[in-house]
Amino acid sequence: MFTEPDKLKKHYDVVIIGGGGHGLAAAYYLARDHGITNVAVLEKNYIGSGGTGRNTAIVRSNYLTAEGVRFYDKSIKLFQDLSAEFNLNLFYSERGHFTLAHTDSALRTMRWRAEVNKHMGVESVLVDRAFIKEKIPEIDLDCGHNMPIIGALYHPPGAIARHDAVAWGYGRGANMRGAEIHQNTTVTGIEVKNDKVVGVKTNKGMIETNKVLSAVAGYTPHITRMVGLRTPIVVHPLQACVTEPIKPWLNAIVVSASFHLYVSQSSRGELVMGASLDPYELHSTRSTLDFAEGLSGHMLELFPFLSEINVMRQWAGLSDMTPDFSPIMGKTCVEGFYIDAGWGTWGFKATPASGKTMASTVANDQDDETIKPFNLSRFGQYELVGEKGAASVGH
Amino acid sequence: MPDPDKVSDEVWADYVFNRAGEPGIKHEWWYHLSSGTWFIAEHDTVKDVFIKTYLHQDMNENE
Repeated sequence: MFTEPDKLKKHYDVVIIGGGGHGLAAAYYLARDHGITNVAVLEKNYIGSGGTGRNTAIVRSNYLTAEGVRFYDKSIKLFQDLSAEFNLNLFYSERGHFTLAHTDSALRTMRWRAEVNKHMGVESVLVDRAFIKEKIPEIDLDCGHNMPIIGALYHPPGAIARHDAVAWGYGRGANMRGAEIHQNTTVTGIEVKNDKVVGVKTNKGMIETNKVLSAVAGYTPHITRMVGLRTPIVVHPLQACVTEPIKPWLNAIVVSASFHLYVSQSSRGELVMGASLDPYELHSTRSTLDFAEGLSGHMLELFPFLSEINVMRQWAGLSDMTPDFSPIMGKTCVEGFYIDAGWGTWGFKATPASGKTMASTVANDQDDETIKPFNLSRFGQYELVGEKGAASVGH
Repeated sequence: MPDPDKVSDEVWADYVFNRAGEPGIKHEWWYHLSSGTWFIAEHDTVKDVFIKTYLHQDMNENE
């Protein structure tokens, strides 16, 4: 899909660390929108091997804060045209997204989210039990009389996409325009002189550059340490699993924060399921039985007929969590070091908007308007962006 | 902990928000619910192995 150069050049205008969706999208928009093509994307593994290939591939924009809704809506609009733009089928499939409420307090938050969403021009509405049952006939609305569903936030544009194809599409598009993608290339250090970036050290030699973009999700603390930057990021694993493929029956994407569960059915027929973050810091992508058991129990409360269906695979990804559940994006106090991080459990859906806004930020050396609220400096200024609409956040 | 009345907002924000997020051996506070006991677990966050545990009262001896 793209060329594999065997040697690094001596100098690049921009070095992007991390060949996931975000890094490759930034390379793509740098080339397409800003004419900056002397760019290297350095990936220590293979492209899309981190969070990009480990998420549950859900795209939505029904967030809680105006800043969040604006950003994710930009992303969803870019996603809608991406298959045509890449000439690559991303299996982008609009399904409608239900966030179930089992308690009055959950319903109150959803009413709040619906109003913020509508105000920002995003389709999002509170629906009752009859509506849910009509759209998802297989659901047990009473959840075995444990925690009956009382309503839901319904977001028609909610979609799923083939996540690794997003990385391939951006990678190919960037490469066609001149950017180089170096897989199996590990960054071992970043040279900073007088608070300015001057180069990047890798396992394949030294690179001269004045602009470095870190887009490494769960590995962010490794990279920020290289430039002496402190951040609030801590890393927790987020696990997911898929069942064996079955006949199509679930069109919608179903989320229950109270049950720590989200599920959709892929175009291959597998049920793709996720839960909440593991509750402690860990830098390992191990899987646990505890996760599969807990998730299955809640799945059966919603859909008892699945009791004979097998889980085929489970895995974990590393989530770089921030205290306010919003990303950290933009310029930093180190000149030429740009950060695209804090993507926690919400990074995949952000891929196009993050690539586009970070490309503009790097090209102009000025934070793009949309991402200004997400700058790292917000913590020092006590201006957090409390995004409780993030996935797998119980509230 | 810095004294919030004496340090600058910047120093206080650093204390409140910033964390050492790199992999390594973390000193985690764990709570055993049934006995109401707080204890420290030294956790290797790369291997997911607990190296040792001790009561929080014994923290100084173990550090």
